[in-house]
Amino acid sequence: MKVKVILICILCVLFVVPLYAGKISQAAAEEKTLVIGTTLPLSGPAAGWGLGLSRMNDFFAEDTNGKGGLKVGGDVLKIKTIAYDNKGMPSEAAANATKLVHNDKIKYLIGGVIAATGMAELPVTQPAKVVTTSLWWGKEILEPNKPFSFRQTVSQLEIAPAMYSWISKNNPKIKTMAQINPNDTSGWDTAAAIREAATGNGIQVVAEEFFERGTKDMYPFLTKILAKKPDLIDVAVTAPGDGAVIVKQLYELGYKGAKAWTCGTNPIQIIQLCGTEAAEGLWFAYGQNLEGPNSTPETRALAKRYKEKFNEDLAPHHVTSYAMGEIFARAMVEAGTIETEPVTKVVEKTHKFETVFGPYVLLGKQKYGIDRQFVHRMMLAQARGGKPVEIEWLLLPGLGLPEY
Amino acid sequence: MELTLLFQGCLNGIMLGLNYALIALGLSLIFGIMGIVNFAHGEMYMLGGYVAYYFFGKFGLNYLMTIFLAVLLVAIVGIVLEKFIFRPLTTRPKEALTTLIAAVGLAWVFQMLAVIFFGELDRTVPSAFKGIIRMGGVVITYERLAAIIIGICLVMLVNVFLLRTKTGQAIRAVAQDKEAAALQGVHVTRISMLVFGIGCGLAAGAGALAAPIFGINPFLGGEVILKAFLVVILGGMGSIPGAMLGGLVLGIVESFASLFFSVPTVSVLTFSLIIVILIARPQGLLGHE
Repeated sequence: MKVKVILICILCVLFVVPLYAGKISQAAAEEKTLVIGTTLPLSGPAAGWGLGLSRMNDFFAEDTNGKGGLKVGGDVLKIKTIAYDNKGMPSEAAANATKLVHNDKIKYLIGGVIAATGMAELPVTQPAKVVTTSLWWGKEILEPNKPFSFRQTVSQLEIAPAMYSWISKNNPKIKTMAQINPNDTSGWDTAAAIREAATGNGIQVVAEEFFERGTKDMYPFLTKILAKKPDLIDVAVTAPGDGAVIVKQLYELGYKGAKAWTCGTNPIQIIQLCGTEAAEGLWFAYGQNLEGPNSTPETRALAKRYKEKFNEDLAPHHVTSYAMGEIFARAMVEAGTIETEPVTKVVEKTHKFETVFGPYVLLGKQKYGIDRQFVHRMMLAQARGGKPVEIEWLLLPGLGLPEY
Repeated sequence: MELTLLFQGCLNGIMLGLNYALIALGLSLIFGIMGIVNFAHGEMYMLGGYVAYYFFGKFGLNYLMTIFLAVLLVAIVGIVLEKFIFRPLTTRPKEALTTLIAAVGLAWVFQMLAVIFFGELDRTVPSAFKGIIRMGGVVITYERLAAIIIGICLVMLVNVFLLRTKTGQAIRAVAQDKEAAALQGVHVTRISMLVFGIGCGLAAGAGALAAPIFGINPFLGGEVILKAFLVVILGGMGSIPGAMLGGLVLGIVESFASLFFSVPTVSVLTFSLIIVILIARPQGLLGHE
């Protein structure tokens, strides 16, 4: 009897819920929407990267809808956002991408991080002509046979040459370096880029280590690195949680040389995690103070709003998702459609953009075979007294250096 | 290779090994007495870390009191879990499978509850013992030294409790033969509850000790549970001295191998060594056949 009652209840739920959901989706369909999707690490050691990117999509949607929506062709579209947590795992990313593309029918995925997840998602998104804009770092992310894959921020291939050019010019005593990276695609590609940039600027690479993400005790391999006495140690593309442990443990082991976090994307959070003393002197390429005078008024407003809403600091790389929303929204308006092929052509043709984050340039034909690399300004900063202190804008292709 | 480097490697290994051993000790205790493979054990470690973050880091409670509180609070959580989740399952058919699944489910639940209540981001816990000791070229922080000493004290406390108290005697009796112990008047249900609580409390103690050194996040448990199981299997399921020895062996092997090889190679070597040991001694280093 008890079993019968339970079965009847389950059957009722199974029939009633889809009917109700059907009514809701019907109502939603009557209001025209553009859904921006994303799959990101929203939990785990890389959550510091993913959460802000997802929230910037939400901010963009709120702001656009607050202005009455997006006028494309003869329609006014409300923007909605969907975000799925991939925990930084390729298998989850692929599953999420499949759901977004084939179930949710998303045409634009804005914000992606950790190249290994990108390599898992692209085989799903590219055949469906879904535009992805990401922070997936690696040469294979941008190729002529992936015309809908854009990189929304500079990668290690742009940052490393700029960073090491500055280091060698301003710190001639640095002759040797060691680098530490996670043991995956992002790590290997970054190691290759930094190795090339360092040796190209006369700095010898004396040690390279790759660790599994989530490792807690770094002492074993740090001991080996310190035995090589490098003048500089770079934690490269390590995620905030892991990198902070490395920097802290380097300090404990008595390392007093120069430190860099070439691809460190959230200086304020990183310094808090490392501790003031351990972080002292650490260089960041993503060192822009979003509330400082070097940022645009719109960036300053976003940073303030983010802090008030989430009680966390907005990081420079997060704002790139908002900028992507702006760039592609304008392209949709100009193209008169949300279809990705014509929109992509408009973006390619426009080439230079002004966004809330500042100037953007789309380039990459020489390096990647296709113009799908967005370049924006990067501020070199250094941790001093528990805060990142801005030093100067790095010279980048399209912004101070010739485009490629 | 320099002697100081070898000494540092040895010291790193002991520190690492003791951390593994402390986590594994509770797991071994629970399996030895109750036959439950507690996949949620890593989450007890994680909870201990968060107790340290809030009580020591935010509220300013004395560090030693914080460790005691972490052990006590999570032990209570363990007792509740045993009474309301695991005990009903152990009376049912195929109990090994159902308790395993329940433990896996609990691990997920605790992780998600931690995300909801504590947030997704990594957190750091301030150092309770600042400063570094240098002996020649060898370095150890006061923090790690304190973790070693307190960890050893916890283990000794558990040992004394098991060997010198009436309740400890009862626990050992249940471990040997549940039915015989019941016939002798041992309240097996109460002993199981106590053991589960102690096991979870030990994991929390390890978490609270490690928190200022490694930081915390809601997914910490998943990162340590694999190592904990390795240590338990290596040392011998249900063997407390085995858990200690297994932890030290694993920590020292990893640490020394890291001096000569890359991290991926170290993983290969470590697991290969464990497989070789288990082929030679399937019951583990100090397990019973």
